[in-house]
Parts: sequence; structure tokens; C-alpha cells
Amino acid sequence: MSLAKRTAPRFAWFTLSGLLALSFLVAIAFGSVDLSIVDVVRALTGQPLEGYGAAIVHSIRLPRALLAASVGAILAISGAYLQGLFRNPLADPSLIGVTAGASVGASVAIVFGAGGLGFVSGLSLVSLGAFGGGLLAVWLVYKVSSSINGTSVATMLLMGIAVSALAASLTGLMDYFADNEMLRRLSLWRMGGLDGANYWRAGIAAAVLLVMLLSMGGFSRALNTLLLGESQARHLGVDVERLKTRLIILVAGGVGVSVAMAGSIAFVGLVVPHMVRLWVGPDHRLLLPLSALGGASLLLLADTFARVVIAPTELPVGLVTAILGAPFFISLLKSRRDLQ
Amino acid sequence: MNKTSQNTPDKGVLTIENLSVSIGSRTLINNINLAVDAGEVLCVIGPNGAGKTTLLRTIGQDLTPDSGHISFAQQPLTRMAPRARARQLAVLTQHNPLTFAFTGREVVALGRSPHSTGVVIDDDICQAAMAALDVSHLAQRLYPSLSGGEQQRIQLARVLAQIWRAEDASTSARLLLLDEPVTSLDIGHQHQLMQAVREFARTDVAVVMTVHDITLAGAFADRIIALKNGECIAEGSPHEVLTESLISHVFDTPVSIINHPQTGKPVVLGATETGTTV
Repeated sequence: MSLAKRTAPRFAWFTLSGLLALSFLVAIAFGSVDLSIVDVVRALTGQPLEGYGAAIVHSIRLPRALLAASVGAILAISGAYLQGLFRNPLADPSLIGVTAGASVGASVAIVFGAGGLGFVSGLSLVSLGAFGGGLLAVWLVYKVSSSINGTSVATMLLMGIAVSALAASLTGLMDYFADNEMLRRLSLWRMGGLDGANYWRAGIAAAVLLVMLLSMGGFSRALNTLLLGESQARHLGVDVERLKTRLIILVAGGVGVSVAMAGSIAFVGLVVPHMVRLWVGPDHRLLLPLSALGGASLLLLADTFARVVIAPTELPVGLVTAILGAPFFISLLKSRRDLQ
Repeated sequence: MNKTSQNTPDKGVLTIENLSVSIGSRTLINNINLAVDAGEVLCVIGPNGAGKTTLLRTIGQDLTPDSGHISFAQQPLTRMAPRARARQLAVLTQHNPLTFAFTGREVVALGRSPHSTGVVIDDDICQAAMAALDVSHLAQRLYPSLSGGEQQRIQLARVLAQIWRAEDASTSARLLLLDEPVTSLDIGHQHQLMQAVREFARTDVAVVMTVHDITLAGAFADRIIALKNGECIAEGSPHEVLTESLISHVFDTPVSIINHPQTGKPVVLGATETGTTV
């Protein structure tokens, strides 16, 4: 029916917060060595444990869970921002080429700069490179595919293909010219998903997440009016150009850091805001924070699944989200076509 | 009789002097002068491409004029801060693409976003605006599922809610710009919407609207201006502007004009289709 069926905001807040807490505990408890929830809570609160439990929690699983949660939340917020910017619920960082652009930026940074630097400054440089590449990609896609009537899905996705193809060829070019040492570094970075997690990576991701969380309050009302259309938002007193510039920079920053810290993880930015929107409606004052909670939970669960399903080896988490996300995206496309 | 000449300074909301707009080498609007008072409904008529929408978009600051001045309550409109402007100038554009599933009520509430008047007052205003346009029953419906006419009325309720109260406007002058607000509506809702706009104008809001239906403009406008090729051909009361010779000239088609049997307002009839050329 066309009557709005919405979940009460308080219930959604409660459920998603609970889900995040639960996913966090599950992510720490499960792995190639299973710990009990009691042990996890004891380890987290600093009480001594028998065996290697405490070490596993503190040096392996906790930083990884923190990184997964931060990256998941960043990707979900980035997706919601992009969808608001493009006024199109099908925008996603990986589909429109932002992730690919960020990967090129990160590769450039790895090949040309990061070698001579220490671990932390190298990581920051890779993040900066990914940020630059992502920025270029969003800007390009936005310039080409947006018009006064919003953005056409077709143009947006085609631009995504074009940008991704360009990114792939640039990456290939870099592989071609890279020497042995650079190649080794590149392939190490490409393999490193969340399993490269440590407190430094988690800390950088958390810092960027914090910026995005702080930005939400100021953006949500303006984004709501932007959904009406650009000139409509301007007539409602929104400085549209400034809003768009800030959104593009934030999305590039978020996707860039997530790519630098955890590699390319697709579809989180598409699936999570979409589910939340079905639940509580498109109001960004709810959509943004709830997407952050949902994204963090989803990536924690996906990562746990990736670690457990063929333990003791693990799947890249990007594979798991893609296996979940691609059919979801196809069904979205189909339902939109049926509507028209 | 031209109302412009009787303009008292405190009633004047919008004054346009020598306004010209062009895109590339094409002149869309040429040297337009206009003044609109509080409480007045001004209808802009003219054939397709005459510059009606361009005029409205220029007043609404979507287009930058080549020359001329637009002042709002004796201030240059361009110098007003966006937020302050939004509190006293509301615009309903011709196309309102919104595909996100807001409820009718949420769309109307977006009109209150330039204000910080608090939830209680905003709720009352949204309810009043929705009641005025007979869309209260659409409050919980999802906007994308509404018919074109229902969407249009919701959007109008949104822009009315935006400038609903005089005390929210810093200069207490309020201006409503409507671009073809009735085009997708049936005759009943056309009249109801025009009536709602008239009543809204009575709360001392100046209204400038483009209307395709000349008869509708004649029935509801205080004043009409006729545009052709970007120039103002005529300005005055409905009876002054809606004459057979003038309308035939503006629209390049013969018309007959009779007076409405009940209201006495001019009714414009196309004369070609009957075969009797004037």
C-alpha cells in the first residue's frame, strides 16, 4: 500500500544499537579459535583469562573489529551522502567508480611515495592518495551525470563503468612500470583486506568516522531539502554549491580512507541506507546515524562470516559483501524497471 | 488603470526595473518593468517561449540578469542572505522531481526548514497549509505514489507553509512565485487552488504566477501582464488586458472574449476551431 509503514524511530535506534553490540561481541568471539561471550566480556573489561584468550582478543580481534565497524559505518554514511547528492537511491561508492578511483590513488601513493616512509606516515600517504583519487572520481561522475532534474541512473552507472575502466587501465599501467619491490608492495596492499588490521589502521579509520559523524548534524536538514531538487533547495535557503562541495569531499575522504585501510569493499553503501530507508523513511536525520549503526554491524558480521566459513583460512570480506550485495542491487534495478 | 502608479512605498514588495536576461546570444527577457504590492495577485500570461518562466526564475535567483534591478521590500534581492530570503520568498517551480518516499506531511514540513520556529508551531502551520489545499488526507501517503495533481497540491502546500506567517519574515514582506501551478489539475482543483492562493494573498502576500489558462488568469488575477518574445506587451486589470485584439496579437490566433454570465469576468474562447474566423 501507499500508506507509509514506518518503524518507530526509537525502536529502530534500539534494534540497530543492539545489533551493533551483538555483532561486535560475535566478531570478537568467533574465529579459528572460538571464545565464549563471557570470556570476551572479561577480556574486554581487562580481567585475566586462561590461555591465549586475552592475547587473541587484544592483539588480533579487537583492532580488527574496530576497523571493520569503522569502515562499515564510513561506507554506509558515504553511500547515504552520495545517494542524497545524486538524488538517486542507487548511487554507491563502488558502483559509480569512487572506490576504483581511490584504489588508483592508493596505488600511486604506494608505488611512488610510501616506500621510503615509516609505517604510519606511509599509511597516511596511502590514505591521502586514495582520497585524491576518490575525489577526482566523484567529481567527474557528478559533473557528467547530474542535470537539473536529478541524475539519470543510466548515465551515472555508465560513468561508473567508464571511471572504473579508466582506473583499471591506470592500475595496470602502474603494474607494468613498477619494479619488483613496488609490485610486492602493491600486491600486499591489494591482498590486505581487514586482515591487515591493527590499532593504527583502526585509529585512522575511527578518526575519519568521527569527522563524518560530526558532519551529519549540519547536513541532514539540507540534504532533505536537496532531495526536492537543487533549485528547490536553493529556494529553501540552502547554499547548494557549498553543500555539494562538502559532500563530495567527505565522501572522497571516507571512501579513500576505507580503501586505504581495508581495500575495496563493495555494496555496503548501497544496501545499508536502502534497508534503513525502507524502515524509517528517507529523512536524513534518522537515515544517517542509523545507516552508520547498520553499516558497522553488517561489515562486522560479514567479516566474521569470512573468517569462520572456511577457517582457519579466510575469505576476503569484499567478496562476502559483493555476494550479498550484487543480487540485492539486481533486484533493486528490476523493481525500479517494473515501476516505470 | 495601472496599479503601479499608485504604489505606496510600504506596500511595495517586489520592484523590477529594466530587467533583461539572455542565454548565449538569445534574449529571453527584454527590459521588463514591474511592481507588485502586498496582497496583490499578478498573473503572467503569454505564449510558449514568451519568457514567463524565465521571468520567474530570474526573480527567484535561479538565473542572473544581464541588466536591471530586482528589489524586494526596497532592498536589492541579490544582497539578501539565502536563509533570510527563503523566509520571505517562496517559489514553486514547474517540475518537482522527488522520487524518495517521503510522506505528504514530510514534504510539506520541508517548507519549514528555513525557520527555527519549533516543532509545535511548524506542525500547526503544516496542518493549516494542507487544509487550505485540501490535502490533509494525503498526510500519511507516500509522495511517489500520489497522482500528479496530488503531488502538485502537496508541493504548493509546502511553499505556502514556507512563508505562512508574516512574523517569520524579517522585513514582513512576503512574496510567492508560482510557475504554472494548475497545469496538471482538474477544473475543480484548479479553481480550489487559485482560490487558496487568492486567500493566501489576502494575508498581505504578493503573488506572481504564470498561468497557461487565460480565462483562469482573468478570473483570479488582480492584474495581468502579457509577455511576447520577452517583452511586456500589456499590463493592467483583467478587463484591460484580455481584449480580443490584444490576446489575438499576443498568441497569434484569433480569439473571442465574452463575459462570464455569473462573475462578469472575461472568458477567452479560441475562435479558429469553430470555423468562424474573426
